[in-house]
Amino acid sequence: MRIELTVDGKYLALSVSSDKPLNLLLQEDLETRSLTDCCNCAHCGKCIVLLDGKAVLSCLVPSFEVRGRNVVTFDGFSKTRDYRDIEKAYSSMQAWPCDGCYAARTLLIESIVRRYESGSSDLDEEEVLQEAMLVSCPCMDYDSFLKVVKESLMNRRKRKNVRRA
Amino acid sequence: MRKLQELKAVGLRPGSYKLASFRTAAVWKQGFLCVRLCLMAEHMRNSQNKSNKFYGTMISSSRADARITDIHLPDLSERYFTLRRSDFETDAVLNVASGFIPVLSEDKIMYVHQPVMALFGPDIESVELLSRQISIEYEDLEEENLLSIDEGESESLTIGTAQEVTEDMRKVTSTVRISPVSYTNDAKLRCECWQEGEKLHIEVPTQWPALIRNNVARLLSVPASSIVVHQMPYQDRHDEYVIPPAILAATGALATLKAGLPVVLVSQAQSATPEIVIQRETMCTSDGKPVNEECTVTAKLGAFSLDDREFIRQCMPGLIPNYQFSHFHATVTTMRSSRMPCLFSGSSGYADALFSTEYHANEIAASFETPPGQWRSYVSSFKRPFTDYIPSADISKLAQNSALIAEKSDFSRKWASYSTQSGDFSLLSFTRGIALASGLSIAGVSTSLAKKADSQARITLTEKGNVTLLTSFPPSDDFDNIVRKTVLHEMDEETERDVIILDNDGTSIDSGPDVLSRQFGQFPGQLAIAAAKLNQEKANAELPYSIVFSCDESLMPCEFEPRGLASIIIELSVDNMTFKPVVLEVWVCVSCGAFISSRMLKSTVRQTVMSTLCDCGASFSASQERPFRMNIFTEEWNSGYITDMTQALRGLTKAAFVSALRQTLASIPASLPASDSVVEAAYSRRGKEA
Amino acid sequence: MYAELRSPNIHEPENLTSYTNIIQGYKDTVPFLWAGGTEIMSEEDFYPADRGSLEVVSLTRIEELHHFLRNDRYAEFGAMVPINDIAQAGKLVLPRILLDTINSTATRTVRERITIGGSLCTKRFKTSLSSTLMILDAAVELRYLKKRMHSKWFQLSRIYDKNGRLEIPQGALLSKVRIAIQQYDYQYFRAAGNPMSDPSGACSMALVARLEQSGISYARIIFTLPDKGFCYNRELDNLISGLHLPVSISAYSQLEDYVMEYIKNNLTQPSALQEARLKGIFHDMIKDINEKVLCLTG
Repeated sequence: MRIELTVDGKYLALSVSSDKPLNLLLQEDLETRSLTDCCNCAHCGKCIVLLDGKAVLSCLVPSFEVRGRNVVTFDGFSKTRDYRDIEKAYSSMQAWPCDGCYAARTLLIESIVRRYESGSSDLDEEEVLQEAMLVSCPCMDYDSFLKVVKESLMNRRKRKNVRRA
Repeated sequence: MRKLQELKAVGLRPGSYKLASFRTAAVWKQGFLCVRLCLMAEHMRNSQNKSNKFYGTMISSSRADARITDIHLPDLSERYFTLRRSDFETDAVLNVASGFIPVLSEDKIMYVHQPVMALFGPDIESVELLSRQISIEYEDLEEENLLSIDEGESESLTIGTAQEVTEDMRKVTSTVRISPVSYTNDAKLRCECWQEGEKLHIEVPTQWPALIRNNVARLLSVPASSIVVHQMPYQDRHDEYVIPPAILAATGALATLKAGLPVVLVSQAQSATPEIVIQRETMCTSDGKPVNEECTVTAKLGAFSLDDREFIRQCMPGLIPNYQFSHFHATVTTMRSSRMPCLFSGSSGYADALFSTEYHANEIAASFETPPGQWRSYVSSFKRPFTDYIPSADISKLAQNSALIAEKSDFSRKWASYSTQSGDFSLLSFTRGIALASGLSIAGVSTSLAKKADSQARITLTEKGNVTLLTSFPPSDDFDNIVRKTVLHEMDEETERDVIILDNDGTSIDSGPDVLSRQFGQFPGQLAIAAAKLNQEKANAELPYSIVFSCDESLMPCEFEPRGLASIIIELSVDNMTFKPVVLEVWVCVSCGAFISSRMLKSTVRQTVMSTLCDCGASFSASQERPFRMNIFTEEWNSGYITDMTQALRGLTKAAFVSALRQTLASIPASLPASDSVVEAAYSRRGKEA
Repeated sequence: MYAELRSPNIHEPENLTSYTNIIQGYKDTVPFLWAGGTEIMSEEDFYPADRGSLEVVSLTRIEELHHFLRNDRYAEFGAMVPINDIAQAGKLVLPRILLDTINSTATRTVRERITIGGSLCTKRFKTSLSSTLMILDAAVELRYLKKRMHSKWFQLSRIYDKNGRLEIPQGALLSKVRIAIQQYDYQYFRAAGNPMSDPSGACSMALVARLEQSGISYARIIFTLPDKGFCYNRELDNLISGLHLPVSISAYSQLEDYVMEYIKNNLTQPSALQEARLKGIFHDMIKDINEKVLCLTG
């Protein structure tokens, strides 16, 4: 099946099996470095990418569903200014994920930050704590994850000058 | 331009490599430059595309203790081929440490997932589908061919002289059981092999490139110098990248030679932990002071003996208690079992030994109905005795560390409060526990094993005054940083110099396996000694001047060096519906090297404690009122060198977890991992113990 | 090569009319309906797989399946509405037990991909969402081909057999779910274990009830064992409905024994862990309802 999509800002046309999971497409056909360490659909959470700006487990997304859509992997995201907000939060909270899940956790945080950055609603802490369980890697405690999310959100709002009601 | 000049300065030749991109991670700090030149596995792949590669997958056994009687293959077209044991001209066995393990086996199968054959084809999906159609028939192994459980090693350690047992003494016993666990890494292990002129290239994530190079050279009868191992990045939780990559590389390399085309071989990276039973028996005086202690360790280390002696060497230092005693005697016995061989598997003995030691200390305190902190301060020793395994060490700081976290966690009050759960109050739905453990850490492999592998690294002072290091340890930014700090600390002059870690082309030097935190816990100390020597000799030497140094502790008197101290307190509760131990909060205090990176240390501590708790069967509190939290305190210790506390933290976490669980559920056995059903059984016995 | 030879054929109709045309075009082979894909893609050996010439109909773009509407009496959701959207949109009106059930299902990131239709039509395991919707008397609209395309509303409980297996005509499409908007005096939902990774240890219980001064006047209760099925019966409902509150210890132990026996006889023997967990949840529910009653009357 011919699939056209945008990955990290690059428009691509590929010929792949229509049911191939997105994580395998990115790993095998596009050799995405940040996705080399994930499982095959065992819900390890390390295969998170942003699909049209929202975090998804790429092992649960078939190739046919990404036609015409915009995929951002950590390789692409790490070159953006948005990434700096999260990186700064890791530093100021003194909590860093391990190399194995750094990419996935960062994209998950980005997705949460995007839900709330406009400033219209308060951060749902219970939801964030539940989201922390999505990445099964046991390298970051939930309390630190919550703090990093809060700090990243603050950095983002500050940078984008979002005024909260 | 500067980077290219550096390349020339360190004598690198472009050779057959294409310098398409080299990663330079530069760390600027305090005016010094540390440039990490990493010639990534940039190889001539212009001629390689998917259509002229073979893709393969490993077929492994589904049974243990069996003999294969038949292998049924589906119809394979000419685009597919298989690789079996008979395709190897020599004995298809890998030489790992002091033992041997088969690459492929078609006769006797000793453990589940033992590699049997490899199937190759034009694409990975077709190969995967065909591999599901392969069926293997087995029959039970005859009695005489079953594993002999006696085939193993045994060693004893005695400290002090036994005191006469008097009537008023009390015997305290404990048994800990660690069930064997097979871990499968999330990621698939991928090995790519191709030929380029005379060279055979192998690209695989591995913790020990020399193991691959030497074994492939022996198995394929090619000179080791013609094999280039490209070490790919990996994330290991249990040192699983030692044996499986070597098996994959040997099979992949043979397939490349056979097919005359590049091959990609894929399988799962697995590792197994041993089955260990540790029994302790301590005679104590009526006021709770230990007098004589007897300890017996039985470990089943898998189907093949790779280095049982190393397990014993690792185990012994962990068994020695930190409290005062008159006599201590320990015996460690290793045996075979129908499981994947355990060589390093995360701890290789030390952590489990430390687990039993600290758990037993808590049990003695509990049997005298004394709060653990109080009992520890009453019997604690300030100096550990000297043995061949580990030298004497001042551990007085352990008590301070424990006191610090006990205060922060309000340990005494909580411990007293949670102790009321037993007896009359056990019917209340109140299920909490808290426990303390503290101990000394070691890191890496023993001197004996490092010597056997002839582990080396080379440090060079260049004409420009820069320092280069050649090692086979995998590259990482943290490692770069540590090397820079260590070298600059020893080269005590104010000259600005660059510290460059050269890319290891897989043929030059073998620094031994990067297991048991050896790269971060043990190597910096060895590097510091070499850098100090370089500093001393540089005045009289002609530049460039190199020192090749051994990556072992041969300058020290014992097998291991103390690497730091750690204390931990774990507070948990048992969910009375899911029967899962839920960890609420952890307090850790570590004392180690003076110029360590705080970021790295805290991350490692957090990751080690949390992953060990997961392995133990714990879950973490995600309630909004009290989400799981880790409080980490770091203190400097006089050891001086950057080090790693992984080994101690694993053992102490297990000990504190089990002791806290036992405070909650008195009838739960001290066995790991604690499954939901075991917790449920203990929960249902709650209040009925008497 | 694999991609060219074995790639399933994907149909992406944009409305129900074109969906019907596609289905009618494949009378002999039953096309595979694809909702969110979270269950099927979690299957071991999902990819690669030898599925022959599989025709997949992706429901993602069918406009009608994304609609939802609400009036005073009920809320109606298209089958392709993600369960997270249901929880967000119905925060203030839907029964709290439904919101609790949805919020206990995976995390928000995954919930955004799980569709309500998909979660009612799982094959490998039974979901807690189905059981909660059953006691809320939810109804579903099925579209199926019988010479021409028919659509009919069913009580949700009628689309499963007694073991919780899906029993709908082959190729039928579950297009809408209707949930009555009514609140109960007492609503309780708890789940233990992970139905995806450990179905033999997981279980859940849901209960809705109307309370009177001295007891329960109306109750619906359901137990879910993901690997075995649902345990749901009028007899159990009546047993709970007749309870005097607060429940005494003797009444509680009789009740617990009866319920566990009932599950064993009418569903199947739960695993030891499931049994212990069910008892734990049941005990927690009785404790919770007692507390509520005592607080109200005290």
